[in-house]
Amino acid sequence: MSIDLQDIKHLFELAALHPETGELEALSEQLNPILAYVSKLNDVNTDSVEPLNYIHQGHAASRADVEEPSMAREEGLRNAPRVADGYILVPKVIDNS
Amino acid sequence: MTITDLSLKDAIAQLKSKEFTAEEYAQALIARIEKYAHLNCFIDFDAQRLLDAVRAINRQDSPLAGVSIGIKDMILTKGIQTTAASKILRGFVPPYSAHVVEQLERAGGVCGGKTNLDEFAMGSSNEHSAFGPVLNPWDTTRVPGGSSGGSAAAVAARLLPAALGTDTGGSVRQPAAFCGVVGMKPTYGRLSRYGVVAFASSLDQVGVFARTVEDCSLLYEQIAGWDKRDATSVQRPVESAFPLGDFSLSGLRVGFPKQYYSDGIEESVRSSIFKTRDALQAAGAEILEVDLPHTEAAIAAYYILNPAEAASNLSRYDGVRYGLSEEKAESLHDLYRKTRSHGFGSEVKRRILVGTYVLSKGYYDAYYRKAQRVRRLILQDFVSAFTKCDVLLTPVTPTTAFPLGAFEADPLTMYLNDVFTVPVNLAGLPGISIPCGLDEKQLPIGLQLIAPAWQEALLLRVAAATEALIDTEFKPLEN
Repeated sequence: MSIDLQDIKHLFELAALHPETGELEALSEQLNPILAYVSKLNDVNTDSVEPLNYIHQGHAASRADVEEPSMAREEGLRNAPRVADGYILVPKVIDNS
Repeated sequence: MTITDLSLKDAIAQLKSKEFTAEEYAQALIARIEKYAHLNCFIDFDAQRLLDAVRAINRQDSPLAGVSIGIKDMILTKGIQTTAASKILRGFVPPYSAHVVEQLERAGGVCGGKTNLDEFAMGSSNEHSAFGPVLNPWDTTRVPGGSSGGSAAAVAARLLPAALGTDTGGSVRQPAAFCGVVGMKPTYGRLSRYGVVAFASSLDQVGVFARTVEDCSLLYEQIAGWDKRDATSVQRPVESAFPLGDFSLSGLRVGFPKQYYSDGIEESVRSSIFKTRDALQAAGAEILEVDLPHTEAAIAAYYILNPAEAASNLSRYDGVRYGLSEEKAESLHDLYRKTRSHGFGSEVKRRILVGTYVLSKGYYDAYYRKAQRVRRLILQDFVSAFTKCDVLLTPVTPTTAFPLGAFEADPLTMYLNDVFTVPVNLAGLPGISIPCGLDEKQLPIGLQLIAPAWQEALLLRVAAATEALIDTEFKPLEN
């Protein structure tokens, strides 16, 4: 399964990445061999094999629904780039125009 | 013997019998760390902070007696910068510590410094760090392995007696082999992942580096144990492997998986492992050939599952709550894209893109679900093999440490080096790498032992008994 530059551009968008000049071409050269390699799995017979998504199946962790102290807001916000009045600031999302 | 040569066990014993103080020990380590700064083992090392911590802990009575332990910069340390070797987390100071760090400190250990790694633990050479590569102490033109290269090199160079790493596809066992030290990854679920930067959540596990198997065991026992904050942490008693008592190799069934001994292995690696196999046999172990038929599919399965989980986990790095944040963003989406594009290195981007592809509509079943089915087959292979043997003996890597830059243009070939380590993560089993010889270039060779799930005590005992049969000294930087 090979992917072209348009496909890679779409992947960049899905992954919230912005390609630098020449990056699409460079990645096309690197990604195609990787994708070709992993497509080898098509040769493995997995008829009637269930997917394994958790190693220790049958182990479901739960705890009592009890309120416990969490982190102080100031601590949680300490690494935030832009903070005001206890909120994290981001570029405007809603277009008022 | 200089005190920096001491094993963890001996350093603790001598601290308790007051041959020297914890502060004197820390000073000796600091001097050596500064002398070998060019190896670039640390992203964050602060001599004063270390001395202050050693003085403050003042607990010679504790199991770790104030000894400094290295911590891979993928593991959160409260108040100490944790970067995952990425620009996107440069300056991030965690407000909490990982469970394993809390356990370490509870046992009287001190964080000796944050060790260097491949960015977000993605790599097998420690060349993909935003803070520069780590150099192999045995030959500084070569890689120490990865992703936990900093921890492995620091322990090998005797800058620290032991260190923590993380192992998702071999990132503790492979650098251990390249650096001539012991590296263990326990069963998935043994060591809490709370506070460990998430890479591939169904594969990640904290691991331990030391210069002897007993040291490795000592540290592992202190940090192991159930943590309710990690839903994949399992409640099971941690059995002590030491003292060995009357443990004997006699009658032990050692499986030799035929798929692990094919053509791609360097001759020196093959002959060193065969020599150890023969010594095990002479000591009474029974060597039998076993079959792990889906081995060849493991890398393909891994390099679908790992990028997929990584793409999902790394979506949190968006410039909003912590880390790098693009100053000139024109919109929220612009903030995300520019922050991530500027913050992530090329290997990380590659994996995110592969992961995004295999999870996307139309490809999810063909790739991701398919890989999960193959994963079950790989696990079944091991379960079946363990009905015939007690442990498996395999190589760790096909070659010894390769030169810096060897795979710069070829990421796929770099991935293929993980062939012997990756299946163990897919199956969630415990595995350990111990040094078994040196090649003609005086570079270390590692061998891997794999045990059934939860059998760390057996694994460590067999590893220690095997270690005792190997008469090579592993001591780089002799001066």
